[in-house]
Amino acid sequence: MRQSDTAFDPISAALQQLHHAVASEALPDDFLKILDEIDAKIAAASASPPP
Amino acid sequence: MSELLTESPVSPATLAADKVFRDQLVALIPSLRSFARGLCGWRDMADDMVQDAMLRGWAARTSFTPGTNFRAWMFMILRNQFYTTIRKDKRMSSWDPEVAERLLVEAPAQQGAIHVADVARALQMLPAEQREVLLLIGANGASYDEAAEIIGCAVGTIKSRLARGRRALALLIDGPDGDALFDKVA
Repeated sequence: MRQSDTAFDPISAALQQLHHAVASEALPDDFLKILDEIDAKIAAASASPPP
Repeated sequence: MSELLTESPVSPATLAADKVFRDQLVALIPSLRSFARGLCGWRDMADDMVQDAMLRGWAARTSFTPGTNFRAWMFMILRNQFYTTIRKDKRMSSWDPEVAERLLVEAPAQQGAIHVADVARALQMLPAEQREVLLLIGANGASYDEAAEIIGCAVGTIKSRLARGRRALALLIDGPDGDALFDKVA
């Protein structure tokens, strides 16, 4: 960096804005289904006796 | 793909580790989606890649060492998924000099302004090796070391790709005046 760290960096700002725009989206149902499947596997493993 | 979720009985310690793994995975989904969207540019395809990476990560969770960098581990899986996909689909290989040239001629940004949509479009014109570094460091806040771990190259290579990527992005966004924009951030 030739300038101080506090200098405004338009490219980084735009990249961060792109990131936040996607990261703040609600999770589509497909993701929730995968997490439900994982949770079900964990629950099933909790219920079964350890090896 | 659901066969990746097939389980066998586990010990209490493994069960606890699985729960931690699951929570880390959930927390990482927004960043994984952002990285994938930036890599391929298409929402549906990006989400498919993330879901595939999640399933592969879960299936391979016993190979993850707790206490090490989970984000880097999952980003590596996702990145591999991306390169596997673009090898199969040449439409996604992305660097098109003619398109880039047209963009340079037809779409100089307004003076002094930089539009996020322009950056998103220009990102897709970059070689994937530059795009991924910009996304990891510029968008996801990864360190040079973490980006090097994810990509599997030297830190010096990361720095070089980042500098070249930023310069190319500035030129694509701002046309021949992009050097001025680049000078602001170099």
